[in-house]
Amino acid sequence: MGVCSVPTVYQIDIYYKLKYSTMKLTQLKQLIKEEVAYTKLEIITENIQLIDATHSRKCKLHETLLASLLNLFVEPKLRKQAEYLKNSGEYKELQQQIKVSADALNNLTDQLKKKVSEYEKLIKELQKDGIDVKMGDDITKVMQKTKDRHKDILKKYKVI
Amino acid sequence: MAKKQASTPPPAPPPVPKASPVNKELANIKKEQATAAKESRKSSKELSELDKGRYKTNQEIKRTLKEIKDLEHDIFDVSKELNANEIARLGLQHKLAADKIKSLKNDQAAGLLARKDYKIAIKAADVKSEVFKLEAKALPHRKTLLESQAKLNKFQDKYKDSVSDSLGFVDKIDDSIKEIPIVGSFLSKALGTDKLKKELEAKVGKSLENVFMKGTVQAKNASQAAVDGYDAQIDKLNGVEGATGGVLMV
Repeated sequence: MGVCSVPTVYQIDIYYKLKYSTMKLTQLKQLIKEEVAYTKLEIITENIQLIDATHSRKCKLHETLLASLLNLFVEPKLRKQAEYLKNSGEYKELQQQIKVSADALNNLTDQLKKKVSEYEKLIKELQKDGIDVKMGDDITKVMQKTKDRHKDILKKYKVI
Repeated sequence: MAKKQASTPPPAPPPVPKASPVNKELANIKKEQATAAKESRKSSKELSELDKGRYKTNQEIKRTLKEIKDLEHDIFDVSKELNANEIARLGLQHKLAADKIKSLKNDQAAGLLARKDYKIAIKAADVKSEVFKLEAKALPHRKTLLESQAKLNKFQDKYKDSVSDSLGFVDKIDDSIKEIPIVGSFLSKALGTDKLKKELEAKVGKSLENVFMKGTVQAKNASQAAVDGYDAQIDKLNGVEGATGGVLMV
């Protein structure tokens, strides 16, 4: 928008106020000042939008440069803080605790894996013999189902 | 192998307070372990009773087979002059003994199968008992690892907060620039101070990654992998569908 190329509603309003109002001159001057400021603001905003659109790449370059410069000062301070945190007794103890417990748990998991695999094979063997057992069954149930499967002979031999 | 494992026992888990939930869980595991051991003992006794029955059957089979042999000898002994009644009596006795053998052989087969399944079930109870012992050993370590992860998260938060605090001045610069009448917002964008903090955080984070975050993430991953690997085995034991193995969490 050009400066006052087309009268704004505000300008028309002032024009009529100048012509017909009973306003004091000082009040009218104030109104005119505001109008000038308003128009200037519109021009500046338009220009900013234009610059922003056409030079956005330049802005990004400035950002990176500024960030790199600040990083030079900020990084040593933060490095110190990170080192302090890393070397704190609590953190070191925690790392050690994790190492010990993870090693121990992995070792136990290896042993457990073998046992679980062995147990799975045993359950499959029972299933093959027609005993309706599953991995999740508790051991009392597994025993009971095994006995139920052979109850005739067990009763005959007075085992149960 | 067993001796080798016994010579290098896993490190002792950290002590656990008496009234903790871990102790309650530990008590449950021990109870389960005791039940499995009891079932194994009880079934072992029953198995020896079964074996006694099987022994008797085998003896009976031997006796009956001898009886059949004797009967056949009598029937086909030409030196003996048997009348028709005696031959019929011996024939009936032979038939009864043969039927008895058939029944005893059925018992023998059933007893053998029952013995086999009893042995498997007892072995399963023993294995389950050993599994519970391992679970009891693993529980404090699992608990420690889960707690450590929470502590590591706090350390990470502390580190992030300290970075954010140290870069607080950038926000102040940006606020001051934005406060300039009319052109403040433009200047903030033009100078890039509005995005500067994020950019600095990224830069600092990248260059300090090896100092703190990498080790922390590695420890967290190792801890999570150990817990997941263990849990996968427990899931498999409990028949949970889709139990495969440890899952790494980044």
